[in-house]
Amino acid sequence: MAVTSGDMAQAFALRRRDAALKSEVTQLSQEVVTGQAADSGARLRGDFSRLAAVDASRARLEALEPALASAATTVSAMQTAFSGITAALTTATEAASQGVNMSADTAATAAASAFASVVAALQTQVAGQSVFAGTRPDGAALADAETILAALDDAVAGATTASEVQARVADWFASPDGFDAVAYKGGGARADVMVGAGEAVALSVTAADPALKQALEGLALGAMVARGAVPDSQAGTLLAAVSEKLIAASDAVVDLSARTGFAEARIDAARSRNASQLSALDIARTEMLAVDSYESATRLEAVQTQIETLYAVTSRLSKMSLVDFL
Amino acid sequence: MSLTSALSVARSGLSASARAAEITSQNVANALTEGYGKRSLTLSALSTGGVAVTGTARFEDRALTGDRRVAEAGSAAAGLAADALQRIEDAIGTPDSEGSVGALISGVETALITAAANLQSEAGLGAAVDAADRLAARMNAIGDEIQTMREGAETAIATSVDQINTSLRQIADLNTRIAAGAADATALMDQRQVLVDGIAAEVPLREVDRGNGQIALYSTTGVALLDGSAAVLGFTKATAISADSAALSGLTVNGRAVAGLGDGALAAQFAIRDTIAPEAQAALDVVAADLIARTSGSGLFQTTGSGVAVAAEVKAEPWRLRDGLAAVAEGDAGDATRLNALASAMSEASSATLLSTISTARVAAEAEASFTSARYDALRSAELEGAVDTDAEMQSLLVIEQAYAANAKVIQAVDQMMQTLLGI
Repeated sequence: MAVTSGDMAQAFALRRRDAALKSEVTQLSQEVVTGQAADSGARLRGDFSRLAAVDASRARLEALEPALASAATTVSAMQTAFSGITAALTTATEAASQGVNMSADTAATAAASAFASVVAALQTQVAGQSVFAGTRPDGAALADAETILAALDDAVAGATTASEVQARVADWFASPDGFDAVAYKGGGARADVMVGAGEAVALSVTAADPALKQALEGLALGAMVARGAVPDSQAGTLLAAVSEKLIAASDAVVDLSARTGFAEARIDAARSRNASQLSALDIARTEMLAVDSYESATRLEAVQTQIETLYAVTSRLSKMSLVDFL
Repeated sequence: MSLTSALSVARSGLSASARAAEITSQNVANALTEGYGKRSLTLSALSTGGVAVTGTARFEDRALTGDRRVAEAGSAAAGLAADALQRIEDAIGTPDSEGSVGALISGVETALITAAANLQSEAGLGAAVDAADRLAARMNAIGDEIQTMREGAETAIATSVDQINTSLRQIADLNTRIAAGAADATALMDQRQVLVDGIAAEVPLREVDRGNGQIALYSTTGVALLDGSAAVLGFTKATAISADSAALSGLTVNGRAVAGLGDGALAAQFAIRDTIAPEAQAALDVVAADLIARTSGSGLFQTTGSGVAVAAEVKAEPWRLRDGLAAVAEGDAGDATRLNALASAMSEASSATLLSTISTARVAAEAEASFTSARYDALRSAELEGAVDTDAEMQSLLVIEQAYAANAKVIQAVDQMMQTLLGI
């Protein structure tokens, strides 16, 4: 044991202790204010994989929410359009089947107005975007009803029998120079809507869908009767064909509507799932990084008391010198 | 006669007390001096009578000082390594901080998702390109920071080597002067101790006594730094360092290359330049290569000479994100296929491995630093215990005063006796 104890030894020890306590106070005050661990690396022992995954998922879900909201609006606009189309088809079918026996004119006019309303339904826009225009939502999905009917007039000019008119209208709708060039103004099928990581919902119905084309073809045929494409003797036969076509088209459109309904349900389910996942991720993140504010406040108090004690001891020790007593 | 001998003995006692007082004042004056060894007087009784001052002893605890020096070197090294890793970790950014690499990668993915949902406006595509641009800029900035650290380490090494060489020459000079029997060898020993302490933080060394007050210095790896003559450390500083710099200079001692000089601040700077920074750069390159591979064909991330960047064509015409880098003309506004694919690809990109590697190393380095620092604190405190204690000096001053007064009294008494004799 040394007989004497150097002056600097005590001063050195007190200084180091003071510095350590001060850095502890800085860290604790930051933890009390933010409620999170000041040194996340030390807290997570250097392993950030979980926290990074949680943060990435949170950001993704937050970005998906508005995207899914707009997809939900689009798909419900589609369903509204489909129900309008189905109603128009039903009215037209009734009128056509009655017109076989009774006035061909009334039936044909009903078909023509149903055609116009279906075309209008297919022009539905949501927030300035055409719903049925595929990859070109900035323009209209279809040309207006009059343009289409005028083009059909040209196509059936000179036809005399009902079957010939039927065949020409069918050709026009099937050929790429007819419907696809003149009537349909939209683009290809839309890409799938992403609803989660790696999960997508197909929302690819356009106005060129076979079921919708079938409905338009049937109604256009009825409109041709109204525009006098065939002599009155053939009108009845044509209307019978129209009636058949419309029944088939109606089934197809209902089928389409059902499939779209499934997509709508999936989107809604994804939205609610994402919302609950988001809150679960928030809880997980808090658990990983949060510090108990009560505990850090208590420790801060304790360290502050320690510093004050250290100051008192330092001042006492500095007064204890033999020089003062000589 | 015994009276005159009593006088001369008392006079020697007076001068011894005076010398003791001088030593005490020297100690008190240097109570706060670094490297000062407590002086004490060695007295011996003369056979012819009286007291003689045989010399001034300088207190030093060689073993403790040696241990403290090694601990100081270790503490400096661990501190430098921890600081370097903290700097890299701060540059990358932890997930709870804004603008971290992880947040920016997420930002690109969410910008792509938003753009795919709002294809009617070109602004979404522009925002996605901006997000990718920010990520590329951040990664390049981290690469620059790492190279700056390497250059900083290079400069620090060059400075240290110069400083060590100068100190070794000065210590050799002091050795010679002390051995030649200078008047105040103890003061020169104080200076020498300060110089050796300066080298000891850079290179852990052991001091060996060579007799006659001379010392030799050996590094803990056995390289002779000073044994008779001072060794000369050599180092060639590179002017600029980049990621693909050719092999950088190592350390030479007296012209011969040495692998290392033990675990001190100098070794830590070499480690930063040659291990820590390049490994971090390599991990960063893995992340960059992953991003480039994931988004190949879209031009979102491409490799450039010095890092990663968004293709210029995509920056000029953001619709290329939607239609493809090689597209001849703008395609349909509502086509989200490519954007969906890019968003899926980006959803699997992650910088978590990079951050975790650096952070784990940093936490371990900090633990090491706090351990070595605590050890250094303990050894330094113990060493300082042997320094000057003013209370003890005051106590000895009291005793010296007493001795001086007693000797003076003896002289007075003898003087009176002589007067009595002469008065007969």
